[in-house]
Amino acid sequence: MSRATSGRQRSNTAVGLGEGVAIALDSIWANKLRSFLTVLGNIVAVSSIVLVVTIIQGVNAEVTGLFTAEGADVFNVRRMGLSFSHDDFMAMRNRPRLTRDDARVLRESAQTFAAVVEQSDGNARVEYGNVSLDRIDIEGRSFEWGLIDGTGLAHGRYFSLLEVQRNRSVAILAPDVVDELFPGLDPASALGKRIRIDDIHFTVIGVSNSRGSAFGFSQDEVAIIPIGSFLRLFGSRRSLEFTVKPDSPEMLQEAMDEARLLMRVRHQLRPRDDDDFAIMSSDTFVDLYNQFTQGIYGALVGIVAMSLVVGGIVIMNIMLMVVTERTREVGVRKAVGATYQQILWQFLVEAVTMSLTGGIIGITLGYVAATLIAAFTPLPYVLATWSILAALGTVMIVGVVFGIYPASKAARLDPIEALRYE
Amino acid sequence: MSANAPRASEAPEDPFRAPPGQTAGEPMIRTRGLSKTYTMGRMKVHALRDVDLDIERNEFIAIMGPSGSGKSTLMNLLGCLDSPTAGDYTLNGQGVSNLDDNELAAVRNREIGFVFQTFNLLPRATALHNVELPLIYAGVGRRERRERAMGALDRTGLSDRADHRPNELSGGQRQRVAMARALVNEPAILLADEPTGNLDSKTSYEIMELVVNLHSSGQTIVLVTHESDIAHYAHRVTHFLDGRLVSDELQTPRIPTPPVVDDNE
Repeated sequence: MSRATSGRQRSNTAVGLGEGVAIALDSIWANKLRSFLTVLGNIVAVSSIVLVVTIIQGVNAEVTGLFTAEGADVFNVRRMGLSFSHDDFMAMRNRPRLTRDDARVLRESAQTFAAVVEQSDGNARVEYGNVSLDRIDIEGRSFEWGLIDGTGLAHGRYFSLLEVQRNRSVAILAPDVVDELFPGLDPASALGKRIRIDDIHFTVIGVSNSRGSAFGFSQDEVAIIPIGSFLRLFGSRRSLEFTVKPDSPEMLQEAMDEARLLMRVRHQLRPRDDDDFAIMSSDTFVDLYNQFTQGIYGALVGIVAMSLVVGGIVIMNIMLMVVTERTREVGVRKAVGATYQQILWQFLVEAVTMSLTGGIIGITLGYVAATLIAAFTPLPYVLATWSILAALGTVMIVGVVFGIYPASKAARLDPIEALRYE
Repeated sequence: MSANAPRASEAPEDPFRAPPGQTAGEPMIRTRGLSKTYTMGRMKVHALRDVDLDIERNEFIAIMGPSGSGKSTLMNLLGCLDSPTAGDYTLNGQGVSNLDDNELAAVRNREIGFVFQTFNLLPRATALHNVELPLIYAGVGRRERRERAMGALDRTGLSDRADHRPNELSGGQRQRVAMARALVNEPAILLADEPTGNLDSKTSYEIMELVVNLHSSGQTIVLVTHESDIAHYAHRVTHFLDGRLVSDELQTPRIPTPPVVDDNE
């Protein structure tokens, strides 16, 4: 106290941190292979976190985009629900078709519906002059489609009520079809052109905006025609599907209940019978998709937890070995005044640094793998910052949990014994 | 070589080393009834019994004795590496016999400079970093640390090897690094345990010359050795046997002279 020690402060943590990181990096570098093997568990765990999360986040972005384009405030009435087994599918095959009469009844009876769109999809050859496009998606739509369509038109107009009622041969084309049928031409000049869909002439009355792409596939290879014209082309025994827009988004659930009731009455179902149709909103798909990703995340947590425990035990083993190797060093440090806390901190920092190094390598590998996958497959990717932070946080915790025992072993060493250690 | 030329053996009190508020007459080290007993199974081993020892400021004392005499135990106690089973130990005016491990570490850090037979340098660290080590644990900032470590290396004549690692240095040079490390915190006592035990006679002479110079500049030195040759450099020699202090004599120290080397190339 009385000695000339002004300016000296003994700060346990600051001392350990600087020294610890320096020692750790030095020792990791000095034993490259051993260090690599030590942190292999961490590398595997972290790169799988980053890779899987990155891919799933990418798919999420894509899927969410799809559903919002479809519209969150509408629902569908369909003949077939989602089937997860062959038996389900076979059972649903016997269900009654949804017809234009069904749609008329829904429109006339329902109190909560703003619009009911009748729709059916198929594909056919589309031609103009000597250009022929195979397997273009043909979408049959009733008049109401124009009222609720979220994509919008770039040029021209939607079907008029009269055109739909009279089954006129008019068509609205998506941009890719326009580009391919009329190469080099201004899209607006497609209006009024006479094209052929499966050898029937149609007049182009509109060009839609682009719907973008999903999973790398364009959604713009589409021609939309009135539902009646569609049924003439593809046969009237097809089942329809209805898209219903409620009076207001808040009434979605109410409207779905009403649609269900009306359909059950129309199909003369008894109270105990199951529905022989399906009612689905975009929530149905989102829920399903979420269940699916939850499953993947669950499996991920399992794999990651396992490799982290294995990795942590390896780190602990190596740290115990390191402590033994450096017993004399600990003796020297204690002799010149290192306290219990300072030694503990030094070895803890070393374990955490090693663990974090593995984590950083893992992040890099995971990111590179995700980038490669995104480059060579249509799977998109989004690098989620939280996945990196979570990974780093986790390996840090692993370093502390599995480093504390070896570190306290080092800190407890008796300086006299340690100095004598050979 | 060293900045400090050897001076006459009168060894003046360095006014800067005397702590303010303390009488100059109070010894640097005072032990009363200092004892250490180890229990091995049911057997009790009295490693050190009832040692009363006063060491004055700027004394150069040698502690001698055969192995098993208790001199190592005494050195561990004087160096605050261990606590006595009984008795009192006052170091530089502070009672240290009842301190806990962390308090002992702080005392070692401030008051004691160790020099070991086997040097005990950190093998992967440079000479400079080795010397900085006590300052790191004292919480001294980077710049001051570097300055003071360079100063200490300068005192032991090794400032031109600051960037070398121990395996790039000779035995004598390693011991000079170790001595710089011992001196860097301006300790109350320099505790040297067989400092020349691993060195040839020529290097031993150089190290002892350095020790004598340090003493001349005011350093209190406790030298543990079993070589009477080395003990001759001290002003005072104590002998231990079976854990007891058996003799304590003042002597006229030997002036360091180069050894007669008979294996000339």
